Amino acid sequence: MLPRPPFSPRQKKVILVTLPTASCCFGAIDLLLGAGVNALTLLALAGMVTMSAGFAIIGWPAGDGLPVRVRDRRDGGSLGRGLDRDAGRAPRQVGERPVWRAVARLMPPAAGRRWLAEMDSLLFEITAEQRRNAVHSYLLSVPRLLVMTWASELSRRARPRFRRPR
Amino acid sequence: MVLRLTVQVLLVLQALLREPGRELYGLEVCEETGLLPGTAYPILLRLEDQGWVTSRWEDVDPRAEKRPARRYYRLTAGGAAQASAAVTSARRPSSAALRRLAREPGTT
Repeated sequence: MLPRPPFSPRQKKVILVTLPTASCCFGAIDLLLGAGVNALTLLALAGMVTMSAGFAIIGWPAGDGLPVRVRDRRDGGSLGRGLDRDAGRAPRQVGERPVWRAVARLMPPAAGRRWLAEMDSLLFEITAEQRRNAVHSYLLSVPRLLVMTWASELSRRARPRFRRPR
Repeated sequence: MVLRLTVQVLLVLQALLREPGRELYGLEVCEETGLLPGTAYPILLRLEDQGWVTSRWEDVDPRAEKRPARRYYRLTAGGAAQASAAVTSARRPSSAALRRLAREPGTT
């Protein structure tokens, strides 16, 4: 039996990015300490840079090239994952990505949930090549969607106020 | 919100009008119109807001189907009438275009 590799590809990627970033940050601190800059500020800055690089890699969109483990959801979750066998790579659920979730949160709640679910459904059924274009077009449509969904939500909320009594 | 009948909106309406009783889901709309999902989705949303289109989530078990549920769109009765009127009027050349044509030499 082959020994289990110590790190998964994703962990390797995180380490490969985090370590050089951290060492660069600490190198910069070393250099700047001579110039009399506040060491604590620099330390905090270095920590922030390292953490953001780490989180960026952890949240790397898997559909864009990083292979992810194929697995099904067993927790009664609504959607299966990793079933896009034609594409060769498992698409990560859009709703799981922090960026898309943040975008959806900018919309009225119902509209945001629906947008995410619909995007999930569509991206699941297309190939990896098409997915890139689709994601790009979804991104471009976000500002218009925000205006539309909020306009529609506000008009829906305002409507009963102006209803005339019969 | 007033519905502007752009070329893209007309394409979506035409796709839905092809078989008015048939429901189309997002990907089918994109395939039939050649529009990208980021363009088609706001149009469908606007058409639904105007009452031309109605939509529903597909009633399936995603785990059994091994895919997420789709959202199906179809024209409402009123929407179908308005949509066909809009598509017909869009096919007709506008009076301004006819006047411009008449003014051009060699066209009469």
